Amino acid sequence: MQAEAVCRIILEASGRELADSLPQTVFEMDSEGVLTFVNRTAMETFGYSAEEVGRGLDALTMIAPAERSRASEDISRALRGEVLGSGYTVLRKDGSAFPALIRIGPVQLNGKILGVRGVLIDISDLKATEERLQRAKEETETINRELEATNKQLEEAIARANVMAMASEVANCTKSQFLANMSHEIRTPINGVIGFSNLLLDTELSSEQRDYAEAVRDSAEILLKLINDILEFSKLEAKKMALEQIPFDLRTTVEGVAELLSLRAREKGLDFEVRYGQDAPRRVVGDPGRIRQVLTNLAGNALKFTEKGFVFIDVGWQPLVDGQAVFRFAVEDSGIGISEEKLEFIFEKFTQADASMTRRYGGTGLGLAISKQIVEFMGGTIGVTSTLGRGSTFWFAIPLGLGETPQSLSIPAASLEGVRALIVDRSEINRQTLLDLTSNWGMKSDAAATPEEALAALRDACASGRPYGMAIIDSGFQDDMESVGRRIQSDPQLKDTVLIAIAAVGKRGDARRFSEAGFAAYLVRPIHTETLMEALAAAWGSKLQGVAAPLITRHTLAEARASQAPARVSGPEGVHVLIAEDNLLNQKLALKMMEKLGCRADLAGNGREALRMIERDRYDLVFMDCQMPDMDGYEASAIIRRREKESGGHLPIIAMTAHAMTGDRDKCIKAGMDDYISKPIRREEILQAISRWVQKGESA
Amino acid sequence: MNFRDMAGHIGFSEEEFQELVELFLESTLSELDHIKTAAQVPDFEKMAMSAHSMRGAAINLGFTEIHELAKTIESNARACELSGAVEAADEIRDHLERIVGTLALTGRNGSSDRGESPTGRYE
Repeated sequence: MQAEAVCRIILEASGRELADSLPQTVFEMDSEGVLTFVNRTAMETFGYSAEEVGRGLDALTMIAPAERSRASEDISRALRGEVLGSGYTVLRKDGSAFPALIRIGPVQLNGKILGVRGVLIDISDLKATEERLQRAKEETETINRELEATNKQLEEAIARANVMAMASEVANCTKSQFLANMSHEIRTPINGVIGFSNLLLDTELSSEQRDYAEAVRDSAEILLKLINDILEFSKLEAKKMALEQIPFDLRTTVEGVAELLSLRAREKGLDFEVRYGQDAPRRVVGDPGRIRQVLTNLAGNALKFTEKGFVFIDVGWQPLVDGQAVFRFAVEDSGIGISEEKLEFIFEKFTQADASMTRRYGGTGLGLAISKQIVEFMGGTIGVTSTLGRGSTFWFAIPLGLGETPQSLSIPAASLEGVRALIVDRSEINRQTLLDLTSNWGMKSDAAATPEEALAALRDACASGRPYGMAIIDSGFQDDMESVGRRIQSDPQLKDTVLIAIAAVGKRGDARRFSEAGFAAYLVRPIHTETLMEALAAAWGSKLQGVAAPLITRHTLAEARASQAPARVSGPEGVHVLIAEDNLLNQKLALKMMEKLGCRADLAGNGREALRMIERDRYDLVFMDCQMPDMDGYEASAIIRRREKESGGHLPIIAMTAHAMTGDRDKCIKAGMDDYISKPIRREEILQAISRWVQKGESA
Repeated sequence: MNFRDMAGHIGFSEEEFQELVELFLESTLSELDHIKTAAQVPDFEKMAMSAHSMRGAAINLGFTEIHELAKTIESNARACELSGAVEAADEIRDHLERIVGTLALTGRNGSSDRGESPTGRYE
């Protein structure tokens, strides 16, 4: 035992000596955690004297308070025999702290654990280095990030540049190809629209349906033309455009533009007028297609950017020498207008007054640029004046050759010279326009702004012995037009007044309603002045001759013009037949059969309609269904016969009925019908009836 | 139902006939609706009118069964007799469906996509 203790002391002494020479802190503690030994480095590092240590110092006092429980845990584990190391914040005597790595393990003697021994390494420098490294790393990362961002910006810039380069390539190098492809893609379906509208127009259509179908076709055609013109833009830029020099009717051209755009104007409820200078020549020599294109563009824009108010197309002229004249076309609108700073760029390509406008109104932004090119190519100038929020006036002036005086295209059924007409409309502009027009034709016109005023004026004129021959009721009254007409008609004094309706919007069934209300003509705005004149002349003519003509419409006028030449075929072909039938299928079936026989057939949906049509038109034969809503065939036939007692004549009426209920046949004969065919209707029976009842040479 | 024969009977091509049949389906369906509405009132006058109109169309094309059914509705309605109208109308509808089927089979341009709600195609 003694030897053991001596040994240990020697060992300890030598060990401690060794420990004192180490640059690290070496310490020992007993099982209570009280330091039993510290080396010199420890005392220097921590600032404790040997005496202080000798008096007994708790090892934990040198550990940062927050880490003491972990330290005592580690000490316990070391006392159980473990060797472990851990990082701690340790405290000097003066309270200052530094980071340290402490490694501890058990002090054993003969297998008995007496205490804990440990080594402490100051890692302040290490820590600082680590922190420096960390900071450096972070800095590097920051720099890297910045670099990355810069790179990204660069990449984006490059990408943008590429896109722009591509765009400019599209715009410059491959524009023709691009446009050619595009226009091909667009042209194919448009050709479809045109083709099918033509097919549609070849079928049986009401005059309204025909008008609409024609509008579809005409619009598609103009669209196609525009596409082609866009394709030409590249040529335009390259100054490769060819201009035509042909004689044409400028007024018709301008009015044609207006007519095509009128649907849009109507939809928006805008006043849309062409004001062709009174003395302006019509026959000119130039390129009508190009003028139409520019005018369509300007007027189309005006309609696009005008929500309410008006769009006017004014055409004026100024003679030059050598059979030339300058024509000035102005499109004035009450639309959104253009701000002053935008005005100067408005004719540049791919420009709209505002980017937001492109979103709102669409469009390629090419229109005005094309127009400018064309106008300048024609030796003219183009310009615009505008006030933001008030409206714009786009104009262009071009020199045109003056053509020969045209032959009159109109075929007045009667001269309008001296005819007294009353123009009735709420709209001042419409009244003025009509007053001007009618006075140009030698008419003596006055105007009234309200129905009351109109009736008073009509009656006054009657009383004074100089009655109005005609009343033109214009679109300003909208839905009231019909009732204004009826009020005039219902006055026995005034019932002979020729009534002309000018509607702003054509509605389904209008023609029939106005015809019923006693109107002689029904026209829809915008109207070619020529059409209006023809309509008035025809209406006046039929009044003078005392003939009851069918309602005059743009369509009937066009037909009248077209059918000046054709010779009427006599015989079963060309027989004019009226089919009174309410069932859709039977109507169609009968029409088809008549068509196959070469007859001209009209349809009436019931007896009342049949009566009206018989009044308006001459028929050779009527096929009359017996049972129809509103007025059946019996009643209609009876009325026809009653009327014939006064007027003379005999219109053959053939009853068509679905297999006889008993007594049907008698009923037919009693009602004044001539013959009877039973359903199913058969071609042979129809043929027989026609040959029996229609005498050759009598066909209308 | 052989459309070609039926067409030949009234002097039309099969194609023309199919067109007429489409129109017939449209007008007959609308008359059926009228009959049903009128039967609820009941408005015998209207029922007879619609049945009559339908009858004429049916016989014109040669759909004799529909013609007979419509005739029943018409004469019953004229006698102010409501019974049988709805049943006859349903039976007519069955016939129409069969016609739709035939139309789909022989349909122009193989247009067998007409489904059960035929709508007339105007020229």
